[in-house]
Amino acid sequence: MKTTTKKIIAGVGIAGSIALGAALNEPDPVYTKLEWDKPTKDSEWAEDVKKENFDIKSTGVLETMLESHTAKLAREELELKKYQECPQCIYYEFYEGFIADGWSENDAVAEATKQAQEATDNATWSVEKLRQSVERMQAELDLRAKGYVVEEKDATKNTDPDKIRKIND
Amino acid sequence: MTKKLLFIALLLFVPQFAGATVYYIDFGTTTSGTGLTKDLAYRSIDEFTAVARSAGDIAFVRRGQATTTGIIDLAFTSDGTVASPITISADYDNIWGTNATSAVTWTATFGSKFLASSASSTDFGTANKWVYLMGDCAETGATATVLNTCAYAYEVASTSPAGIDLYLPYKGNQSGSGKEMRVMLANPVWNTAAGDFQWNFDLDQFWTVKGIHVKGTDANGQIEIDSGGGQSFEDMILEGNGASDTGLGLRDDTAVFVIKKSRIFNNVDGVQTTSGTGFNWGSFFDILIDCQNVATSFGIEFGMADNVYLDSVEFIQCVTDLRQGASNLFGMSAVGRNVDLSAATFVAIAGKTDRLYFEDYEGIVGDNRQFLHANDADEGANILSTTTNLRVGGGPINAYVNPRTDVDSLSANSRLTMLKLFEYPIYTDDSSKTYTMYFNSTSTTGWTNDPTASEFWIECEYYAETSGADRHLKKSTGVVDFNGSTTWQTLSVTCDPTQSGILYLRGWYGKPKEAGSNFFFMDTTPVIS
Repeated sequence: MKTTTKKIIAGVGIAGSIALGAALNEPDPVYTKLEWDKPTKDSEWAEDVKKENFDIKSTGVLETMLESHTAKLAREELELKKYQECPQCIYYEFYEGFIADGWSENDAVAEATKQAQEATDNATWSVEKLRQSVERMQAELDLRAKGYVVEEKDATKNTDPDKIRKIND
Repeated sequence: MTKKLLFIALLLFVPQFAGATVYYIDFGTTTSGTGLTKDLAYRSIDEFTAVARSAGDIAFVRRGQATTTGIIDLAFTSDGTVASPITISADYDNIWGTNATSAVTWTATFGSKFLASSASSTDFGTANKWVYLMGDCAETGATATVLNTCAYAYEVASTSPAGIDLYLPYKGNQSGSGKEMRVMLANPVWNTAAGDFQWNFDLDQFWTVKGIHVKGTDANGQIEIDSGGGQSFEDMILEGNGASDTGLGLRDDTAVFVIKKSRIFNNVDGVQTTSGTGFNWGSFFDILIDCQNVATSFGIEFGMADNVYLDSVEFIQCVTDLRQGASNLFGMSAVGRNVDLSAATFVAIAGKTDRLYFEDYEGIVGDNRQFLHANDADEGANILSTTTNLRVGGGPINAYVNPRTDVDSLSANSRLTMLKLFEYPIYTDDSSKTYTMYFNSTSTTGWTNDPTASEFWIECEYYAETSGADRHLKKSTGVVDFNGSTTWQTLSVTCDPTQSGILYLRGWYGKPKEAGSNFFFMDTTPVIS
């Protein structure tokens, strides 16, 4: 997976892009979607989950993580919904703050536009990242449940060494 | 003489949080590794924060390093818990072996920013090192697995042959001369002051960050907390670019945090709540906010209904030290103890219902003040403690009550717009007692009309049933004659509790300000008969 820079737009999924103000004075950033070669086979999943160190987490900890991150994903999705359905709301919160701080109209518009876009990008990234993490956690738990990989404490002399999870938590 | 290494080895094993993993971050490493050993450290903090972590995970960051290229906004994917926050900490345990013992000894004076050395020291060749005196902290070494709880490490501001100056006053447990000192490299540095990047806690909870120097010019803050709770910061340095930057930005929705022993500098806003938002709960302990004379700068800007606690906070070189944003007009409450203000306009509170309470104002023991909707360009607290005009036979402290010049700042229509002169919890039995407070205006010409009993009263609130906790509120009915007399006058209320317990005695003043001064003194000691 290529984890992109934070400043991203996730493809064309955003409803109502932020384009309410004067043109920004800075060059357009390069936006890259969160890229992930999503595994399709157990062997691929077994390697992919290592990118987030889920292979070194004990099963109980992974289950707790899955629960907490699933709950957080729901909160983040709700937040993203706000950004997507009312981009003007997000923009105006920033704009109002800059005006109250004494910024000029032009500067406030420009910065609010920029900040609103960043906030939307960040919210989009957060949701995509959490979805990816939750899938990976579930995948690792599934691999253990079916015995494809085993925690070190459960390994036998016949266990393929490549399938032993050396726990570090 | 053999120099003894006096630092105390960890005597008790402190177990890692169950389920927690230790990670290492070294900005100076050439290739990013797994993060699981210091030899295979991550190169960036982002590698730790952007990936899902379990509660209790901790990342140690090597000191004396800076990461200034390839910076991106720092995002946080996971949440810690109340018992097991996720932690990012500079190395206090000497994991990388970079700590050293000073070649000279030192003199510790509690409350002083200066530590005198026994001889000229060569320990501080590079800038911004951190120090602690032996006995104040302990080092676990390379096997550290939990946050080092060292509470008395200090950043060195400057050095001289006679000693070192700290940014914050020393408050450790050592005193006197002959103290050995451990010297640590500078906090790891993230970003440049001109880099438009930030740490953004957005819907993220229970992160602990200790000992990181965060730079940036993001208008929303070097660190932004947006709908986040349970963040804890210590030994932080937040550095702006001296223009339109913010140190700690509280945005959009509620933030709940504590920040200790940290320095915020070179920003136009040291700490800012976005105008129109608020409901933040923030505690500040041992903080230096240095605006470095940035134009229109302010130290802390409060938001709507912010609830803020300031303990030992120093403001320097700000245009305004404390203010409230123009759109944040309601409900802010701030309590300050030992707050050192220095700006020409150090308090600018616009909200009609907003209050600041100060104990030991500007570090003067016993100088206590209250501001309600106040601009203070002329030292105009609404209530301040004083020893002038003491009543013969009365108490040792007066309250000087000075209603604001803004004619609409006080009203008896609601307690929200009144001055609470005092509140005393008094343990009493079930006997009837009369509580009397004394008041005096030294100028009859300062009053056109006397305050009515509905504008100025004392009250007691006491248990009024033989069991149960319901209380009765009883107000005084008398009036004072400030426009006719400069003698000490009284308001009294007789209270009849039906069971023993706490009785609350309070005083309220809400007469709209007249053209005259309308000031008066209150003997703060009640007379009980």
